[in-house]
Amino acid sequence: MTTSESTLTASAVPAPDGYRQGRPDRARQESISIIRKRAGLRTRLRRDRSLVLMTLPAIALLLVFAYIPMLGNIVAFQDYSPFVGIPDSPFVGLDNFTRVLGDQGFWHAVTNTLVITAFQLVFFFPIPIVLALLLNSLLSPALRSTIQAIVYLPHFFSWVLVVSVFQQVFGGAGLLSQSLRAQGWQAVDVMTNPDTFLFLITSQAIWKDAGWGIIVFLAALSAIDQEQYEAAAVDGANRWRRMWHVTLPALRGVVILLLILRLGDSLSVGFEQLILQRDAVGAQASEVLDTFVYYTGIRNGDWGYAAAAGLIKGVVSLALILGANKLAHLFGESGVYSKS
Amino acid sequence: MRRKKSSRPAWEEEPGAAAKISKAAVLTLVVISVLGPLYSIVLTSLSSQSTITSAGGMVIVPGEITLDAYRQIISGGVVTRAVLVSVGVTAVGTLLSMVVSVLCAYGLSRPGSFAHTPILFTLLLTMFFSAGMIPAFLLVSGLGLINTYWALILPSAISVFNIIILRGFFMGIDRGILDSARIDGASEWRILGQIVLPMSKAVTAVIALFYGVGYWNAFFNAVLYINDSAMNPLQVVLRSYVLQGVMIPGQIAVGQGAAPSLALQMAVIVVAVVPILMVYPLVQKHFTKGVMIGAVKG
Amino acid sequence: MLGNNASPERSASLKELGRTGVGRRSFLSLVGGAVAFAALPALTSCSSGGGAPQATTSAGMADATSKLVPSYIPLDTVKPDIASVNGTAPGFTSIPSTLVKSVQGVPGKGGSYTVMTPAWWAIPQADNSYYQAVNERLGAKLNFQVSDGNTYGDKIQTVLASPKDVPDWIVIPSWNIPPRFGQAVKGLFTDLSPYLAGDKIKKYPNLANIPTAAWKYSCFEGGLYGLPFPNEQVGNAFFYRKDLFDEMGLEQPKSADEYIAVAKEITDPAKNRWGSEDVWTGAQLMHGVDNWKLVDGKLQSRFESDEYRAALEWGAKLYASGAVHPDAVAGNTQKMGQRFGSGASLMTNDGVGGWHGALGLNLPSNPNFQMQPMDFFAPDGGKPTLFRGSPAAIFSFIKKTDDRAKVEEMLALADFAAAPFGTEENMLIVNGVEGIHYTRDAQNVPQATAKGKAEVTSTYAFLVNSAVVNNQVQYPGYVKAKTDWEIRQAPYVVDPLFYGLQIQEPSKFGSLGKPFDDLSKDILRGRKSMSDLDAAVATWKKNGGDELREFYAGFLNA
Repeated sequence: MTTSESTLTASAVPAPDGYRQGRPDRARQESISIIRKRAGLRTRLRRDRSLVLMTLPAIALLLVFAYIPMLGNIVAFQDYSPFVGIPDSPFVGLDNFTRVLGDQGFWHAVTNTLVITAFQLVFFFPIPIVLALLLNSLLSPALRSTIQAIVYLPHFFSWVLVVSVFQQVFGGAGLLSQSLRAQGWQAVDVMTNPDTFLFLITSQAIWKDAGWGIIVFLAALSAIDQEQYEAAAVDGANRWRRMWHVTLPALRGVVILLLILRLGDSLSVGFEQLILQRDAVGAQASEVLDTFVYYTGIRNGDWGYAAAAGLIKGVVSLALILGANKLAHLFGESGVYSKS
Repeated sequence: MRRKKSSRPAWEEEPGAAAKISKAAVLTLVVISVLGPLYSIVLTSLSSQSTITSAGGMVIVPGEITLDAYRQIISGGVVTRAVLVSVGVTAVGTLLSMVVSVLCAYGLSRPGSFAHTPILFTLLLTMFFSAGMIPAFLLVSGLGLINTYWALILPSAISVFNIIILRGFFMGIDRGILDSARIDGASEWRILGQIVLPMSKAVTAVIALFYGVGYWNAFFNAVLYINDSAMNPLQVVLRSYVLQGVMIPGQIAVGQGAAPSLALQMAVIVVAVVPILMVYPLVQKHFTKGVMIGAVKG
Repeated sequence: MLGNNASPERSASLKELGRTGVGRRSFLSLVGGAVAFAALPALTSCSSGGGAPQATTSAGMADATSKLVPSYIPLDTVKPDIASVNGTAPGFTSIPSTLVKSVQGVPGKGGSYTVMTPAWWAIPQADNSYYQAVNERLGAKLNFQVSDGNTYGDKIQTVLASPKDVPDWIVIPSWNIPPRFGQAVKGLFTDLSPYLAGDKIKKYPNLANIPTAAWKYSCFEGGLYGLPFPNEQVGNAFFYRKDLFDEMGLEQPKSADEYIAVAKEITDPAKNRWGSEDVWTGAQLMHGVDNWKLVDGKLQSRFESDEYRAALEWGAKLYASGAVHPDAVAGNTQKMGQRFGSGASLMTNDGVGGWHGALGLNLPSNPNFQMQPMDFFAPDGGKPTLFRGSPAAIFSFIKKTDDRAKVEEMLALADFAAAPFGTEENMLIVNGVEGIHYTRDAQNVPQATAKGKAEVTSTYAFLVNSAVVNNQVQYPGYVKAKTDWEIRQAPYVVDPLFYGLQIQEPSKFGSLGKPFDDLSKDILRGRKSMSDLDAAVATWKKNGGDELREFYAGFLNA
């Protein structure tokens, strides 16, 4: 679904690994699964018939809307024309891929994508942590939950809405320019300046999702045993030392996991966000891999070529995700899980 | 999960005045950055043209208040129609998504059941590799879904992530209760409907919100798949009117020139936000619970 | 390919003019004029399925198409008050007191068809009283799926890529024709030549009134697939705010340098006033950019030409002067007409039909509003070179069907839509129903009611249209001024190299020119330099530009 929450996806993703490695679940379920596994295939089918049936609608939807398109990537190896169809479009081998890899526009899109990812990692990523620490230090639960409710809110706004809101604040006719003009200063239009576009989209991302990002950190913070603070305080540790020695180590696991998973997802940056603002700042600043695929494929009708670019992105992303998972294990991802 | 007490623990020192003030300042700034623009948008949508003109654009200080913009929206028809489309797609989509997801999550909530591993694997694989935009488009067009509301629903009907959250929650339900129901002869369907779901109100509400917001906010799929402007959902209309400044029918009669007046644009924004604001408070308190269970139990 | 290059500008201006009810009421030449932007590329961006360049010559092509097109049987409905000179549109300065009934009986047979059309203005509500009234007179139900004209090209891409979802009847502006269209046309649409070729057209007198060149231009892949919407001879112009120029004591610029100087003089951000809009299309017209030209007997594409380079350099200079309205710099073309109308920018380029569109929009609130197209000038102030607009600006296509009766019914509906000025049918389509959508003033001139402004639109007219005329009599002096301007420009009009030929580029060249879309925008705004153009041209050559040149050379040997 389009709203899939990046931070949360992050924490959910390692699950399959745990599963595939044959240590499926909590200990108390272990005995049951062993018994279940021992039953014969046929018995289990009869016993679990309704369970399997329940999964069928989802499986059917996935087969049609996720797996068939995977096969559809065959057009990446064709000079595909929608007017001729897949069966009759000529196969061109790896032509599309060599063209993509030799295309400056493609590499420009890759560069932009990576720059945006890196920039957001540095400037966006720490903000939810700071916010979570701030909120966590509030004593009044009522105030805390009110602020939480407010900062979560923009997460549920569409990109169209977020860009519209920014337009009203930072656009040529927005609040900022208005007050600058009222002071007799030169108005600025941040929405259309390609040089500051990186800051703009990062601020938009922060406005929309930083609040939402604090959920995971707040939970990690609330899991810290208060006695640790007390013990540290008794030992004479001041506020900052307590944060350094108790709070931050407790967040370390979550932070590392989220970081690594964001890296695994680094080729995807807000498609809707960028395509909405592409006209305003030009392709030079805003073209990323996903918009490249859209413009070359659907707008320009170079289907096979765009599919090849998309497939390259998909495969590299897969490698990045798998690599990131591996990293997560190296950093001891079980630390994240044991919190429950 | 949170600290319940609101008083400062004995060992914690009172923070200095500077620390207190800066903390308050930062949090106030955060809150204002969210609420400020929304306030100005709502106020501008309610302001008369003369108030907007004298403010030089967005209104911060209330002036003359009027519902004209909203009247224009209703008489123009396009926005109201788009609202209906969005509400319909969101309602049908969310219902479908929830039914499919809850069933699937429950079906997968018992490790070791028949074909459990391959089914789970089938789900999870899609989180690792996505086919890409071009094949997805070709599929929707091949299925003949172009220019139908189904194109806005089916391709995004399930989120594996949401299923995993639900599944995590279902797996955490005390097995003893379920097993005794099973011994009493209850079918899995009945267990799901009469025991599991009533115990999972919070998490299902959160997941339904995720799905609902996803449908409500989706914009690009309509750009791709919908050709008849009468079938456009609200987000597309929002983009035309607010970001591109395209005119709203019925406005000419008011004599406001070619582009929608600022009040009208802001009113469309308000219309797009209100449904979210209506559902949000009902579900908001469950976020942490719903989300963390999914994240932690995986 | 080339046709698509300027599409945002072009469609934007088309949209601008049609914005208001007035625009719609008088859309005939309005739209025709606007899309004459297509004057720039004489060729539409079609591409054919064939991989290798075909050995067709223009003579051979002309031979082939002449067998496909209908005979030309002009109607003499109303005698124009200002006659055509050198191919200019005739002018009508009054509304005939009695209208001719050109379609006897009910053309339709009760059929119901989905029609997809663009709209560059507020999209009227579906199934409104205007649609109902016209459908009733047609005796058939046309269900319009209307899409925003600014993004219509994308829609066409997706619709044509899904053969199952192609509507019964689809309107495609020439600049929105997608790559690989040559492959699409045979499979998706009905060849109309068996119904219309030669004297078969006599069954449809209003269609027979459409000039042959427009029909020829509607031939694709050896068949007559399109129903044409004829184009203006000079479709686009620089416009300036005459009223405000007079107030400031300024004259229209007469050379490229003067344009920038005047624009700078006007610009005063403190007064929210800028000299110019984005005039990239105008810049190319001024510099005489054509898709292909012969240099020493060798074909040169626009991207390689000195003219294109000069147009870019001039445009970049204009942008760098700070005289372009910041929203235009930001790429917002949608609000261009609004800015021009409100006096935030004083010079722009637009389809010539945008002229009376803007009059209709601005006169009610600002009776002093006055705009004027500039007489064209060469960059150095000398005689301009204006390339004649392609013969048709918009086409409509009928979905492939073997049902003869159905096609004949749709052609009868098209015949109704093609009724010329001075007929009852034209009055209904352009203005709606008297008493409901318009009333007549003392001069017998139809004036739209509020309902008419909200509902009457160009959807029927887009299906097919008669030749362009100037007939917007509701603006005093307008028809004469417009016709005079056209007559003044006519001596400078020349045929572009491949005038009137509907050439299908092979599909592999389909997106060859696309990078220049973004590149030109970036160069104009100073985000990229002319050396990036050199690099882009080198890439263009390498990726097939030279092959494309060979392909076009095949059409030269006639």
